[in-house]
Amino acid sequence: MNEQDKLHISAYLDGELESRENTRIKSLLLKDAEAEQYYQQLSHQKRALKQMMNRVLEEPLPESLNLPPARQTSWKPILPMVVSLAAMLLFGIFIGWQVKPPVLMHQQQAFGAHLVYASEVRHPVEVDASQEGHLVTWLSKRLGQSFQAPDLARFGFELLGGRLLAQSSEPAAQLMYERSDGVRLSLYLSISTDGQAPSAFHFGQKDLLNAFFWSSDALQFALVGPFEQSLLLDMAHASYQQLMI
Amino acid sequence: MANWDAIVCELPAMRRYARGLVHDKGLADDLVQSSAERAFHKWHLFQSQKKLRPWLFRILHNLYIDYLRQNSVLESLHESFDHVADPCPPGWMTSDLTVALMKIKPAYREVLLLADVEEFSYQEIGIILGVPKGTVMSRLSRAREAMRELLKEYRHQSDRVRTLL
Repeated sequence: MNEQDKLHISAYLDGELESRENTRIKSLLLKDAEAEQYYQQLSHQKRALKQMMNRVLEEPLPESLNLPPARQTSWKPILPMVVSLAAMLLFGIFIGWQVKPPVLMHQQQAFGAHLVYASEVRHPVEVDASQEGHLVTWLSKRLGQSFQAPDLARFGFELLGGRLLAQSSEPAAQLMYERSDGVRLSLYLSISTDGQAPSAFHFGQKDLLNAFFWSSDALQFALVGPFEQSLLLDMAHASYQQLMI
Repeated sequence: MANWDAIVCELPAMRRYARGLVHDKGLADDLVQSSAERAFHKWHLFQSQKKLRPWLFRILHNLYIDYLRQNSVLESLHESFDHVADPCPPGWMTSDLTVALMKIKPAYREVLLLADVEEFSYQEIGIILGVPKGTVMSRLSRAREAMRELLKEYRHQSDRVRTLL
């Protein structure tokens, strides 16, 4: 069985061969056990993949997917309306300054909290790492979800401690880590809003700070610091795994 | 709205395809929603003598490519998952098949899902991906070969674990 045979066995499986080639593969499968086995494996893979993905069909459609989108219209006849909408938008931005969507708010607060507290020389934390057990219990209780402070020692970071913060009217928390050269890393946690789906890692950047964001069902996380993207991603990944336990 | 109703009929299959591509449920649904909206607004571009399904999947494919371009971070993340024992967050399917599907190249994943799961013809897949039919045939064969190799490797690993126990 050569590469050409493999190619044609794959197409034979989908019924995509022309009649002459089709006949050739048919007889090849009859006389060549290796080719026959290859065909069976592909065929099995195909069925298994379909079966696995079909599970998605059993889920109910999310509400948001069922709604028809707003109709788009031509611009010219509605120009006056566009102008007044623009004015309303500016007003909206002004209002929105205070009422931000939860995810965006989480990201901005994570950067903000890092800027404010990482630069504190004497009081970077409210409760220091010598009372780690108490710190974690207390913050877990306030956030309504138990978690452990991730151990980032293998990256050279030691836990300094943490503090309780406020995000909008909900409690949030910050854990602060420090490397031997004094550079600090913070893990910011806030409560996920209802119905928010868990998400994979997202990268964010503000001035000299980099961050990775992710979320579980109950909490949203942000790992922030002035570090290279790849190092930060490794640490975010390690934190993620420890926080899931 | 007849147009919208026609699109809604295809939403479950579009979700299935999107989930196979990106695995993250929220992200997959966002892709489907954007595709459905784009299809609705660009309905005048749809030629009614043609089939609706390939046209919708072509829109979804284009949005997926945009997403890959914008999120090179996420893609590199998938590569870094290579050395991790269980790359799937809670709630995801963790079979060997899922892991293998995640590991092959996005271009392989697309053609594999379109052929094996969505059961499009090679010609339709060519239209969706914007490549000639011959490319579909060879890419699909390579994708299946890549999956077969990974699955074989996983089977060996689990056999080894079993003999250790």
